[in-house]
Amino acid sequence: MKLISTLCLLCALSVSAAAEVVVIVSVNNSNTYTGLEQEEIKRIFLGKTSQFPDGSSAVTYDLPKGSESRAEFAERYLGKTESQLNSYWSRRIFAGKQKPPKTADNAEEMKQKVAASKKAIGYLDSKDLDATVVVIHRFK
Amino acid sequence: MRIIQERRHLLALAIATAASTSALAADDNDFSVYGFVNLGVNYLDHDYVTIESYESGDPTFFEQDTAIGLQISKPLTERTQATVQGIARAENDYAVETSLAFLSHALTDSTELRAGRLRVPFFYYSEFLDVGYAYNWISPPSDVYAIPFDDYDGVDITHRFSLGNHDAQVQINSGRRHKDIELFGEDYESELDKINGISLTLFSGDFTHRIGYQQTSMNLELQTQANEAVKLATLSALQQGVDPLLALGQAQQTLATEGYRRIDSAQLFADIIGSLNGISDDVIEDFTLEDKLTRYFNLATTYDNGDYSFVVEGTYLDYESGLLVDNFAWLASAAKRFNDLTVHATYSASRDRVDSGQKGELQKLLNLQGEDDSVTLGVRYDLDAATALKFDVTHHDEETNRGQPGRSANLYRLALQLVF
Repeated sequence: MKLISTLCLLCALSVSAAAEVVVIVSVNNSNTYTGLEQEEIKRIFLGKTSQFPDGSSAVTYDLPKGSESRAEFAERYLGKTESQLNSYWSRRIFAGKQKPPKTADNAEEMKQKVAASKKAIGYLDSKDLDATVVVIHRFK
Repeated sequence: MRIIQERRHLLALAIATAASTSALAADDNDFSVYGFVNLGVNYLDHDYVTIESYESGDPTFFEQDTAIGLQISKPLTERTQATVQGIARAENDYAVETSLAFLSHALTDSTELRAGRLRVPFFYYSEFLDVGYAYNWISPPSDVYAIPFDDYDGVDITHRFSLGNHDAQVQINSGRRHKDIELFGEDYESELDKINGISLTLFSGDFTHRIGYQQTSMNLELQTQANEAVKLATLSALQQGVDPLLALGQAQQTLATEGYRRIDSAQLFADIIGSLNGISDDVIEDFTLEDKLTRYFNLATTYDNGDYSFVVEGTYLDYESGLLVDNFAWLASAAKRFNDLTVHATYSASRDRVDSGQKGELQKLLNLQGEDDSVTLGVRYDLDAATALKFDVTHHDEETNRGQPGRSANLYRLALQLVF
């Protein structure tokens, strides 16, 4: 009995500790009125389109390789493991065609970069959110 | 010789540049440095069969499927960037080839112009063919990916656009390649002109579709110094009633001592055998490699939802020259991922199609045609987010090799492939 409750406590802890990754843009981004579909975010982050649905250009920001939020974002939004994402970008990089998203070193830098440009789109753990950026998509 | 020295110099420059990068602050104006490494071990279990450059006998370690690539790009202005990629292959004693060297300029957010040394976008995997990490196989099936050159000097323009919820990309390229080419394991001085093509790629959810066309005008510098003498000797031997196989065998021996390569000899034999069999001069004229057009067609569909993926690809090579036989090749591959392990199975086939009429008749007389099938089973294990360990077994069946029944063999390959 005691074992079970301890286990459940661990469950509860792991659930609350699990990162909820949210997608963010600048407060000046005009797409905040309409929002973005998950599929649109995927197309933008995989470099299949370089524009927001309203036609304005989009510049993507990624968290560093190996970060928990990056793996979570890749799995939930892009449907890929980090290895698959690296394979995907290897094709484009070594064909000399496209570059992967620019990297922000941490959540603080992510917010700064995204807040600074209405072209920017990024993601972070919801616990790092503040008023400098706008959440444009939350995974349900 | 000089060219090789220049290439080595380029690598030294590249390494020096890469080494200095880490000292720079992270900034949009930075050098980007990317690289890939392939390390391979292989074993082919049957004599008399060659699959690409794999030979039977003892296993080879780090001689094939082994290469290191380094790519550096530097933004010059907000819209312009310089990129250089060098590949050092074990098969070439790690002499560095410059596989990419171009300036790119973004005309708009969705249109990019590139000029310099580029890779010919023949088929789906062509532009990243050497980057093992980018796909599940150790290398894409050689039944389909067998074009003996992959670079050219020229320009291309890529435009990306959206169609409703789908995205698409059109790429148009033009250029030429004046460099030696390796055919059937031998080098030829060659000029490929009018390398022109267009491809359209459509991204639709987890599907990607590609349709592509390329063409080249090929000139090969072929040996002809012994042609007249050997032709006369062979024809007179035949007139004296010497067995044709014996007479042609003798001719072949003479040509070998003259240093004739496979295509040099094929050109002369087309002339001799063609005139003996009443093939018209116009048709025999096609069995040369002077300004001969080749057209490359490609259709591919891929699907990848993260857990399951498949690829179906077909290619058709249409040669104006009779010395090269038109070829239809295709592959179908499926993969399933179990966490860090991906298992895959592939069938690929290559069919030479002799032309119709007298041209085809002469091709059959020359025994140029081949037919191949392969089945590949493999696993990819992702050791970390940028390193993969792979094991592939390919059963290769030569249905027909140079017009004769062929043999079969198994190729076992183990490779470590990574990107950085």
